[in-house]
Amino acid sequence: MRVERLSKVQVMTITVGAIFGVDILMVQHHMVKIARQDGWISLAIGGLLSIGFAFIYYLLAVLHPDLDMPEIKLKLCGPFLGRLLLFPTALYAVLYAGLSARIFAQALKMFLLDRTPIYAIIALMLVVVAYSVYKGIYVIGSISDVIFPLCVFTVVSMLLLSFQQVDLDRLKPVLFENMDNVIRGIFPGFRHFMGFGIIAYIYCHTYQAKGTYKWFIAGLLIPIAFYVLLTVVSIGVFSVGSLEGLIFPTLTLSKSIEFPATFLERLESFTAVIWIALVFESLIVFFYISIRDFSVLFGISRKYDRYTIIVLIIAAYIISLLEPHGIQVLNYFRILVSTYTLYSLIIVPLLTGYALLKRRRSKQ
Amino acid sequence: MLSLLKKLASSKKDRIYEGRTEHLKQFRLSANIGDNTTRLLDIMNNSFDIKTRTFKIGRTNTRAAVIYISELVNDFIINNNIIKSLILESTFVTDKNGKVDLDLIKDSMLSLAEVKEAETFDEIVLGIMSGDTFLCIQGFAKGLLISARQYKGRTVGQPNLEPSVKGPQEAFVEMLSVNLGLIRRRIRDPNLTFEIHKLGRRTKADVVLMYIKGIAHKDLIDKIREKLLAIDIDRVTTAVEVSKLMIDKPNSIFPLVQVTERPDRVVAAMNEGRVAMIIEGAPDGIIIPVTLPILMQSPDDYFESWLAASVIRITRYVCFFISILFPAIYISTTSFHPGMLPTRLVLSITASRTGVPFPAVLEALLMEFTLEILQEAGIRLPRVVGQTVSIVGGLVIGQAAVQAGVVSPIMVIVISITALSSFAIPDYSLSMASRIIRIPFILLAVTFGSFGIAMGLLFLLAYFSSLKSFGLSYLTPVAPFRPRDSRDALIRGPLWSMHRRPEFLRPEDTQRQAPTGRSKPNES
Repeated sequence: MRVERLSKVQVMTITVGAIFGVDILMVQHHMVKIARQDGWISLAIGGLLSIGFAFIYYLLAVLHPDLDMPEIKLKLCGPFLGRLLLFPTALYAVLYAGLSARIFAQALKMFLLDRTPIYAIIALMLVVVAYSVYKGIYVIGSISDVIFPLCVFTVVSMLLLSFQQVDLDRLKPVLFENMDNVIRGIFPGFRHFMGFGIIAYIYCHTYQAKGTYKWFIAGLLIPIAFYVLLTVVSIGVFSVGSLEGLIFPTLTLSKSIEFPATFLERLESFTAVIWIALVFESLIVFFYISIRDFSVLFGISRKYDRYTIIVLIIAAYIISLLEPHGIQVLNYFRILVSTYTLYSLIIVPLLTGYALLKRRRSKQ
Repeated sequence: MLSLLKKLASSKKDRIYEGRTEHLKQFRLSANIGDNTTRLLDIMNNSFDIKTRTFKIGRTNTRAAVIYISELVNDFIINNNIIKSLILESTFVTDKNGKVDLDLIKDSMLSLAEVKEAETFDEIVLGIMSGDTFLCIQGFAKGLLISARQYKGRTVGQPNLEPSVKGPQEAFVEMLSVNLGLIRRRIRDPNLTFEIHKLGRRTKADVVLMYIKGIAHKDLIDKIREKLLAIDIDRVTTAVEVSKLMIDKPNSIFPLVQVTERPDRVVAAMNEGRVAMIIEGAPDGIIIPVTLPILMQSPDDYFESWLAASVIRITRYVCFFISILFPAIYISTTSFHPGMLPTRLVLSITASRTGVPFPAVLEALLMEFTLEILQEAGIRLPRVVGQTVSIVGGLVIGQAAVQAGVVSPIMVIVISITALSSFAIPDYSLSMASRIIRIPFILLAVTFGSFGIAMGLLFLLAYFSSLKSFGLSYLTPVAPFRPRDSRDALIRGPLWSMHRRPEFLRPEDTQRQAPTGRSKPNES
């Protein structure tokens, strides 16, 4: 029988999909608010630091090649403590998915569908997400294989097309009396790449062949490069002052590209399709994470875990509509990601260290 | 109550197995020729086309009979090679005591290639029904099934559904033997295997599984054979029908097997490691497994330069998307996002829609419905009248509808381009599927604009990713992405670069040609 496994390429594409998401629409705005014209430097440093932490996650996964993250937690910490550690992650994934859906629906309403109610946009998106997640991790892998090249093509095209509008003087002065802000921006920059944690969920489904790590790191480097370039280009096009006032600068950037002599005058409707695909991919990854976390939390076997999606989708839908004010949703989102990043930075290295110690002991 | 239920269950079981001939296995021939012929004719309901000829073998007093179906045999062979031989050349068939010897008849008298002994009624009835002639001799509790088949049918013609500009122009016909010959002629490899199975309780059609041993993976062959043998149905007439009973997702509108009428396509598929199946009486075969990129390939791709073929193939993919999305994109752009179009184009579209009483979506659905009627009418009517339908439909209705103000000219253009694009899809079943899913996309576009289209596409992507054709992902080698196999997916790479068979088919012999793969340039 054919044994289905994720390929090395899929490790990269899923990692890219997990890192991108609604962040790609607003990362520049967020970084510029903290570190002003040097926001891209904070982002780059945060990105490089994330490579180190990604290695810790990868190591934890490699030490348990047949288990995914929730199972590893249970194995290392026992059923009670393991579940206690698992609960925040499970909660985070479903909250993240719900808030992401809401933020993206807001962006769509603002740029594309001004007359369509937010609840309808979210409902359609979540139905398609539920269908995809229900089909399992290998279908998610195939979806990311198709979305990845489209995303790379769109982002690169957008960067190239908007480059003529870039005024590099807007990036100056570099690091001038701004060191404190740059340092302050490293952690927020780092947390934009927290999606790399997906490796601990998918490694057990891969062929675990040589070179998997390289592809995983490539999946991390691509978003780092894109985010840094997007920030540089956005600062160059809009300037720091304007960028602080734009909630979704990426969408504004794609709207600003004009083709006066061609069939289409503006591209934002088409590029919006790609952003939809990117956010969709991020949502299916996070729903997959929450399925696994909740299933292990409640002792549901792998065979039936996909059915938990029904409950999770309803939960995410309710979460997405709880807060009436859009700006407040963005704040919640930031607080959520920051809190979870802190939690992971403490828990995952501890787990990895404990796993290494356990391994050494068992060898002795 | 219980007994009634049991009775009902047993009667249902009887009904299900009605039409089988296995129960005849218990009945053996008797030594009496009269009993045997009467019984055989009774089993076959004394149909008028079943012929019996009773005669005496030479100068002996031993009686013999031949039973056959007149429309399935070659009369000349029966008269000359069986009856004439037995009546006039009896000296060869008697032993020392002057008694008729069945073995001598079989070995020394019947100058025919295929003769086999038969003792039970099930094999005799099946043989006669398949076109064999049964020879029964007085005093023997066994007879001879002699193959003198001659099926009448059309000659090999050109493919109707898969025409090509260059390359072979032969298509399968309804006769299995001819079709097998078309394949054998192209592969002179002793590993080419034809596995015959009988299918259908009543039709008992000959179904042939074809593969090249040593290339096709054993698991794939076993899986197909297992699914084929599990079919229990009273009637099958085409391989496509059989495939519908074998696929994992019978409700899918997308084809999960490749239907073909081209022997060259079957040969190419078997050379890659796939398995084909043809059936007696049907002019099309199926190839298993299949993926979406395979369905977008055309035989012409391999007769042109790789660059030209790649451009054409990419055009086909674009056509596939146009055929699904174009009306939806038009509706979403004009209804939700007119700002993305140049102002003059928007004005032109608005002007052309002036006076049209329906919204764009209704206009599109109306035109779609008209197009479907035209296509159906074009298929059902005789070819001569079919052309008239296309003129009446395309020109008269289209122009009249625009002039009457029922639809706008731009909508006629949109639907025409969509229809033309669907015709550019090489696989008819895939083309039909694209016609069906166009409607949900129109509805999504009118409700959610480009967001709806995007969600529809993502749903379709998830659906495609979950589809499997005999265990093979439908989007392979694009997703999961297999760089090495992608040389013949979205593009058609140079033939010399495709020296390995597609890995996703897991061929047992992976090497197709030497790594250099081409003759060396002349040294001068």
